[in-house]
This record gives sequence, C-alpha cells and structure tokens, in this order.
Amino acid sequence: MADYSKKRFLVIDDQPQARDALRTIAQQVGAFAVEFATNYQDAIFRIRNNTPDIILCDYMLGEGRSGQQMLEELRRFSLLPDETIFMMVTGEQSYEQVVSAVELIPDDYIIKPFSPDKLLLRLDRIVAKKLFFAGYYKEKRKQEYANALAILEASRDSEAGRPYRFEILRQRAEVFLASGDVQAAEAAYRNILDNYEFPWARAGVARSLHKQNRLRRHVPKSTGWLPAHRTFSMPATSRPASAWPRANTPKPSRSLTTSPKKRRATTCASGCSPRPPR
Amino acid sequence: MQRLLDILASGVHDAKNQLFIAESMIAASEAAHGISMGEARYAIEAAANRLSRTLTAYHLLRDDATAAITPSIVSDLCDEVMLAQKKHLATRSITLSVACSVLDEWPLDRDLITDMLNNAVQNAGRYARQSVRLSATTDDGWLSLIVEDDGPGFATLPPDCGTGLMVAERLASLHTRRERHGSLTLTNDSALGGARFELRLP
Repeated sequence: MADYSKKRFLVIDDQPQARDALRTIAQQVGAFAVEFATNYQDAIFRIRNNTPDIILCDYMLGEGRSGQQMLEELRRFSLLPDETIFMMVTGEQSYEQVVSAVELIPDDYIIKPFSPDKLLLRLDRIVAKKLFFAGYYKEKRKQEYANALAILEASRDSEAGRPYRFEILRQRAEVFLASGDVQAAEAAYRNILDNYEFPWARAGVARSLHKQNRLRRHVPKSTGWLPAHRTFSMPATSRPASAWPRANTPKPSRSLTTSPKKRRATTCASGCSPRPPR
Repeated sequence: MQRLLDILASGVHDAKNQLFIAESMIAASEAAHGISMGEARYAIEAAANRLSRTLTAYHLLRDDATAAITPSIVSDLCDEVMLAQKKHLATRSITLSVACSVLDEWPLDRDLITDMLNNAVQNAGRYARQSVRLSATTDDGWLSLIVEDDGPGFATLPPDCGTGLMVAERLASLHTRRERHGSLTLTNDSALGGARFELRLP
C-alpha cells in the first residue's frame, strides 16, 4: 500500500457536494493535501502552475465540458507528466464505451459510488504500474530513445512485465514514432492490430502513415476508423454540448461515426501552448 | 425510444451520484467514530449495481448493447470481486476464496464482467453452506472464470431461465474475437459439491 499522505490531490468537479464527497473519500485513503478545481479553466490553470500528484476528475464538468476533453487537452499539450495519476470519476457506465473507443485514456476510471477501499486498490495498482515504467519514463523525457527502447525490450520478457504486455507494446510503438522511425512504428502498431482491434493502435497506424505522407493512399477519405455501430447514451440533462470538437473525442452523443480529422491543433482552447519535455 | 433511454440514463446517473454522496458520508462517520458500517456501504453499492444492471438489460432488449473491450488484468478483476463480496459473505459465515492463475491481461469489458462475477458470487452465497470459490484459468485461447459453491446445486438443469440469466448469457456472447463468442455454462459439477458457474471468454 502506497503512502498517500504526502501526495498532492486535485479534485475537479463542478458540483460542490460531489467535490466534498470525493475529498472525504480521498482523505480516507490517507490524502492530506486535497485541492479543488471547480471548473475546466480553473483545473487547467492549477495543473499548469503546480502539477498535482493525483487528479480525481469528474466526467461531467458542466458548461458543456467533459473530463475527457480536459484529459485530451492535458495530454496533447504535454501538461501531464507520465508520473502524474489521472483518474476519471463518473456515475456513467457509458464512460467505459468512451475509454474503449478513444486514443487518449486516463490511467484508470472509477464508477460512482465507490468505497475508500476500492479507490485505494485502484490507486495502488496505478502506482505499481508507474513504478514499473519509471526508468522508461525518465529516458523518454530526456529523449534518449535508444535507452527507452532497451528498457522496454528488457521488460517485455520479464515476469514482472506480464500484466503490462499491451502497455509495453504501445509505448514501444510510441517511441518508434517519437524517434522518427515511422516504418517501425507502423509495423509495431499493425502487429498489435493483428491480435486486437485497439482504437489507439488504429490511430497509431494513421499517425505513422501521416508522417510517411502516405495517409491519403491508404485510408479512404470517408472511412472512419472507429466502429460505426457503437452507441453512446448519455443523460440528456448533462450531455456536453459540442463546444469544442476534437479529433478522436467521441462527442457523448448517441451514435459515433467519427472520422479522422485534422490531428493536431496549433493552439488549444484555453490558450495554452505546448510545454517542452522536461 | 431514444428519449426514454435518455431519461432512464439520466435518472440512473443522478441516483448514483446521490448514492456516492451517501457512501462518502458513511465513510467519514466510520473514520470519525472508529466504527465499521460495511453492510450499509454494501447495500448502497448493491443498489447502484442494480440500477446499472437495469439499464444494461434495457440496452439488451433494444439490441444496442455493446461490450467495451479493453485489456484488463484478470487478477485485478478477481481482487475487486473479493473486495466487494468477502466481508459481506463473512457476516453470514461464508468464506470466499480466490484462485487466479492468469497473470496476463485479457481483452474484456471490465465493468460488465466484474458485475457478472459479483452477481454470480452473490447467488452462490445465497445457497452455499460455508464456502464459495472464484477461480480463473486459461486454456487454448479461452479465459474461464468460474464461481463454485458447496450448496445443494441447481434443482433442475438447465436452471429456469430468468431475466438475470438471460442478461448474463447475452452479455457473455457480446464478447467476440475472431468469430468466437463468449458463453455461460451452469452445472452441478462444482469441485466443492454444489453449483458451478462458468463464464468463457475468447
């Protein structure tokens, strides 16, 4: 069991009662410092200025914003170090449909209601995983890609790495892509797709092809790479309006027929700029 | 029909948020007074699970239920069922044990499968004399999740097909991989002498 008393928690929720409930549960797992963010902008501001160790973010943030949008903004603009834990909190069963269909996912998500014991179990699991990848994260951040790959290759066959098989394969493909070895990246993603239809691997193939300038030849314009039959049902009252459409974010609307859009925006909605790797 | 679904989903969502507030207040009281109110929290979570299950059954009837398949660590799944059920069963002098020999991730719908296993363990606990066992094994590209008890077993086989069973069977078959479908088998071949629930996933 990890010690959470020295970790800085950030609870993001627009509902005051729900914020208090999350803080109470976090305190039961040992949290001492629990900060609040009451809306989207406030949360981004706090994370940019002083990144917390553990973020508990509600999926419904009000004003048409969702926790998933926030997560994607944080990830795309490198505001979230690999070591930070991002846990999505939701009363929605359908959030798991989102997680299974998008490229950028939280470290984990937890469905309300849940006990402090359950949160502890989930957090301990993420801490163990981040510890397993700690050496790799370091090399990746220094852009020492050969070292990062060597660590992944070694962990691939280790007994301790067995539960993280897919994550190792994914990170390996990411490193190929980041280091500019786009052919190797494409092969790595396709290899994964031979076994499982992961949306992040599909997106990875598209990214590799895009970097090779072969995208147009291989992906017919009208073909979405997400299965068209998936449906998302969200409560009508709290359905986020499509205030901010983004590539790969299924808008929480009924039918999802997302097609690949322009992949990277140059500025984000909150006016932040990418942070250089630390 | 979509409007009805939205109303139901919204109601379930709001109810679960309220239940979470209730559970956090109980957790705070437990800490403040050094008492254990595990059964109260169990009842709250059981109510939330019922709501979720109702919504899932409605999706199945509309034929628009889909499994959200992600790689999940099987032993983590077993640990969560253990955490959710062990203390509750212990209040009725029933021991829940877990034997998970699967170290790898398996592609499955974590929430649906966890709920099905929780449900199977609850059912087993209702008939068990003193023990319920959850085990996980793999063979030839299949994952088997088995819940056994030492009770009197099913009176008739196959058992009468209630709504719960119909839902479970259809949820199992939503797990497909390379043209193979998940399945559910209920028998009296339990190693403990009672009923045996086996969920097989490709």
